[in-house]
Amino acid sequence: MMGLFNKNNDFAKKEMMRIFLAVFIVVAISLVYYFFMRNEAQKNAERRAHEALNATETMILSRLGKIETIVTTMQFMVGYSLDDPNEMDSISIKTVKSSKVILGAGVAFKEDFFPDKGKLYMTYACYDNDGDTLGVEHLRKDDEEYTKEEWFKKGIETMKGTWIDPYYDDVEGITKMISYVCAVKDKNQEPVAVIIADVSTRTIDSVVQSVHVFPNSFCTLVSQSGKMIVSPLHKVEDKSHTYTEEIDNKNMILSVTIPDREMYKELYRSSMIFALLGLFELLAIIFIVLRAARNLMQLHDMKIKEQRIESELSVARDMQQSLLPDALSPELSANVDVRGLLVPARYVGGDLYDYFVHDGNLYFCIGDVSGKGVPAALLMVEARQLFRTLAAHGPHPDRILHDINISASENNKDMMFMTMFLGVMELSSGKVRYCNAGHNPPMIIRDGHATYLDTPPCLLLGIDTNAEYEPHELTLSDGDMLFLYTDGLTEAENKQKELLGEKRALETAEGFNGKTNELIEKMQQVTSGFVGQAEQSDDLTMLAIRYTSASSSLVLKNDFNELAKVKPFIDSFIAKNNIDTSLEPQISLALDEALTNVVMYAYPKNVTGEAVVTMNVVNDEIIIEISDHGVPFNPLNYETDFNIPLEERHKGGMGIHIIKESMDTVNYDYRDNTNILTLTKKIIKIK
Amino acid sequence: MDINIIEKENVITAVFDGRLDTLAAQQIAETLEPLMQHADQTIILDCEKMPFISSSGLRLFLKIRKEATEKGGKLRLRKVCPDVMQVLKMTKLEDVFEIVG
Repeated sequence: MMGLFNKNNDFAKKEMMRIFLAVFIVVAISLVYYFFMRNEAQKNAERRAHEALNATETMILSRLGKIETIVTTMQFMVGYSLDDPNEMDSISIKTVKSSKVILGAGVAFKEDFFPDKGKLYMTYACYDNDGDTLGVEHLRKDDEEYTKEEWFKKGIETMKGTWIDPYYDDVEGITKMISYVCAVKDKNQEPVAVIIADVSTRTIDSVVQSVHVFPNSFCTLVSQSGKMIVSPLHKVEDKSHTYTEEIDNKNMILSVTIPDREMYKELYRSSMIFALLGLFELLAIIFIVLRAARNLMQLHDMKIKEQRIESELSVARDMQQSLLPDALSPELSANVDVRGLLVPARYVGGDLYDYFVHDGNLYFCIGDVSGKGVPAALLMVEARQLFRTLAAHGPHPDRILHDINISASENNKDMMFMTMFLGVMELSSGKVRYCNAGHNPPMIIRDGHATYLDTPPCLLLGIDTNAEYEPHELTLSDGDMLFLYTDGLTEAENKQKELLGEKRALETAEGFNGKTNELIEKMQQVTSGFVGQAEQSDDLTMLAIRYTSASSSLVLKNDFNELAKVKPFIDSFIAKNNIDTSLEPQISLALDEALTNVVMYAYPKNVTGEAVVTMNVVNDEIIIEISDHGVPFNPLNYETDFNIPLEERHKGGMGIHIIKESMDTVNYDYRDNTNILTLTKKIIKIK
Repeated sequence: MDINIIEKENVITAVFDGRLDTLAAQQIAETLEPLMQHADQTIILDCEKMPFISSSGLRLFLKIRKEATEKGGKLRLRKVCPDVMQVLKMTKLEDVFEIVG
């Protein structure tokens, strides 16, 4: 049981490993897919960001361009009016007026450019605090040192103009501005003044703030030095991607910031769905695999159990087969040829056959226990045992069956019964005594002609303890065959549910003239040919017994020339009965001497007479009878006395002495006007 | 049963070929007449090819022996096979005949 359990455990472990592997593969594929999609989303975001940036840049350039054009006009006008400082106020006012986004504009001259105006002179036009009145201021205290300020320094260097960092206008407070500055040159091309235009970032705020690549994404504009020009409306998030674009020649950097959660929103959503689906899929797979594994394990268990039962049944089958007699059993007589076959429908069957030789008799039986399988086989084994044991009590089939019946009937709770045909054959004569307890009638095949034995059967064994089994007799001649079988033969079934039948079995045996094993092979072939692909429905058992008469006889005339027939006669007898040829010289010697006596002394001269030699095997002895109808003559009375000198010995006495020496027993009898000399010799059989 | 009689340097050899049963003994009795006539010499019965002998055959041998004994000759059996030797023993004749290899 432990082994079985461990095996299952291994099996489960293997299955679990497979499941884990499957999960791992699914997760790995998902991860690879996720990162691929994430990369794609990022690329997509980047592309969209740059598209938006380019569009925005163009719009900013356009807005700033308008301011630049206004300032360029102012630059030209200032340059034209350099000799009239008073003109500067109107020019500045005009400039401020020309655009709503220009909050203030002015011109600042280098030191001592207008000596009468002071050291420094600057004009600046802007609206007052209420934003209603446009006025001009001149050199305010704060501006005293404007030449040292950043905007002036940068502006004096460029004719073309440049944007400078935004600052919070002191006056306007929170108004965010950027400034555009440029230099004004005199006739000598010397920069003499700087024009400054303060522009509200309003002009570009809307442009920048309206950029929405993704919901919650935002756009910012910063100066090159890092000062915020247009700040985001949104809070900057931790995880985000920022894409930037430098605005040509404007010292500004435009950027788009996309929060990750926006950028990957689609990815997150599809991933979630994908993950849920995957999870569901995995659960389904695990469920299916576990179910399959459980089923497989059950199957595996069943298989192991089946194998164990099968192997036990196979042992039982071997044991049952080993109970069957050995066809080449050496104790079998030479003059009987027996062969049996048992093919169980299952591993073990309820059929049996058995035979053995005891005291010059062949005991044989064939039987069929009701049912199949182990219980039938057990009863069969018991019946066989009884057959073996009871047969030792004598050659009486009726008594043997009677006793088997009593034993089978007692304690027969399951009402298992058994048919049996049981016979005892006297090997010396071929005489068979038999009883049939409800078994199929055996066939007898004589001179190639097959018939069923038509004695009525008696009651089955195991039914009634009082049942009587009537014995019958039959004598087999040389070459006759008895063929016994169980209903597994006649009731062999094909796919069409047809039975082989007694007629077909009889036809198979008809004309047969061969050995027992050949008949059994033939029957088996016919049966399997008939059954075809159908499953064997019942145990198939056959037993064939062929009797070969041991006895041979030879008739001789009282003529020495007749003695030439003796040697071939002995040789054929020896061959027929499987007797060792080393016995031949002694038999020849004895017969030669005995027949010489008959030829010489049995009949008067010139009277023709006969001698009959009969040889037989009974048990393990050769029995030779030499008979004649001549004058009564007992050769035993004429044995030479070897104690008297050679020359005085009786002429014929040496022969009888030789016979006695060669044979085991020598007997003489005279009856019915016949001299009978009987010789016996123990057999040496060929192994 | 065939018999071949060879005479060489006053030794007569009779070579037996076959079974010497009663019938054979009857048949060859005449063939052995020359041996009787030369019983004053040494007679060798070659039994190498004789697998069987019965009492009739033994009687033939005894007859030749008797003649040789009477005429002053000698009889020897040569190369006796075991089965024939067995018969000689059961008839207590193994010492009566001079048996050579």
